[in-house]
Amino acid sequence: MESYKVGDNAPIKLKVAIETEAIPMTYAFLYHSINDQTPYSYMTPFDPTQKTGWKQLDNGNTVNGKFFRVLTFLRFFIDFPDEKTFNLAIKQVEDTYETSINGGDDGPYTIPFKIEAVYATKTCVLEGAIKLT
Amino acid sequence: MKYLKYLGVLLTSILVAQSDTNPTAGLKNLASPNSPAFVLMDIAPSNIIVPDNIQAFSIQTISAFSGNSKDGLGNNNYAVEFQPYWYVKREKMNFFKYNNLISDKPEGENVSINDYTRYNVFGDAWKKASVSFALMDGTFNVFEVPQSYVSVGARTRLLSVKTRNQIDEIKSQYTSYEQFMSSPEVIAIFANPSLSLSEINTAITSLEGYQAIVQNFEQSLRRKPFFALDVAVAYSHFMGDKSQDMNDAFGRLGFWATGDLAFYTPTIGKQSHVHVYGVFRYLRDGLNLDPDPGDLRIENATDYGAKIALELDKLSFGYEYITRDSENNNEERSIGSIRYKISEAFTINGGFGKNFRSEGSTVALFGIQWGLDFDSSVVLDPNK
Repeated sequence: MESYKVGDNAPIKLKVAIETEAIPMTYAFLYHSINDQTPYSYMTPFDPTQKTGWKQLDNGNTVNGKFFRVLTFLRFFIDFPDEKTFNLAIKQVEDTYETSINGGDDGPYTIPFKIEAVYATKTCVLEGAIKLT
Repeated sequence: MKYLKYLGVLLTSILVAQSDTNPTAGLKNLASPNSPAFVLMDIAPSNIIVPDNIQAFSIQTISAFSGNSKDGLGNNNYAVEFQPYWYVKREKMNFFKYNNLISDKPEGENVSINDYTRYNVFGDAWKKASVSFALMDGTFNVFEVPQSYVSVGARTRLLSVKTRNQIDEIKSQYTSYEQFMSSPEVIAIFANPSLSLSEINTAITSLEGYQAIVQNFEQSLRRKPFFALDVAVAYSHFMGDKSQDMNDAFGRLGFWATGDLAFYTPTIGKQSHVHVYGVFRYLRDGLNLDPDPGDLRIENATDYGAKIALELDKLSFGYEYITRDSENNNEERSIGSIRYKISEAFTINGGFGKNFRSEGSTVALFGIQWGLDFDSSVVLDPNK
């Protein structure tokens, strides 16, 4: 698990960038520990192509020692004629998706992500997670 | 009677394609059609109409219903068509830009749904542009034995106009979707860290509320633009015939423009439209044989006419009448067509009637079109 040094800095901020034909919705959660099943704080879900700026984690409170997850769900409203065309649309998602965190000791940091795309439902889910130290 | 026979073959082909058996034999020799590289040679039953969603890469094939038909179409006619849009990076792309909606807000600022106040009528020009290449052989009423041609073509939707009502509907559906995706039941699924990405996807897409909203949204987006102008250009080169002492030469050059006025008729079907098309084509035709010296000569022709079509969810019927104003005489083309969409990637086409130069006789063509899918149930290999 990657980590990002925040110390007592506040606010810590998140920015999500993506260029896609789909409608993306981003969800961000803070947990006290990696084993928690319920977040203690979350952001109001947003479309990162429309809300492009930095957003504060936990309303600007310190987040030292917390576990942070950010997920983006995409739904394409295109009648793809075949899976090959869908895969080309997903390639653009992979190439342009970037979740950045800022406010820590080392400046902006890009959170690594994993991706799952499903042609049958014309959807795609991306997830990144990081330990805030 | 002849039409009934052709219609019977078409319906049989549809049934074969829908059955579990491998339809290779049944569909191998059927004809297809609408890439500019094919249509230029008058061997396709319909005019250039840009489909809503072209495969990023597709193969088309066309053959004569009978190997020795009077139109002289040979058995080796293939075209590839691809859409460059999907192969390059789409800068600053988002859902609204893809649907031609423009915001007045400066770049970098947060945007709300009400900021999308304008519609880009040229927004489909690059998105729907496609390029096609074809290899074909035929006599085309000029040669005694089929000759080879190489064609290249391009087409796109130059203009697209949606009504205020259509635009408001899209914005309203976006708002509903965004609200649903921000609801507590959706957030709870994403908040659960024990779910895998696959499980999250299944959980979201299985929600009843999600399915209802997405279905309504797609229905709104599938409505045809009130007006669309499609354009195309194609060139076909005659490869020459050593046996007749003919060198390679200019074949045909064509420009098309098709205007489509679409009237939404939801009382007939969910995606039903009545289309009224206006058609224009300029053709510079080098496939004319001078009887005296036996050389090829070039003629210019202008086509104009109209087509009316009823498009139901999967089935469409049409009739087109086109007049050709050429240097020597005037001709006409009067063709009825039928199109059945089996799946998103597989369509069967048929057409019958009187074509240009057919001197009153009928033409009949049936076709298939499918995406380059390695799981396809249809193969191109004629030996199979």
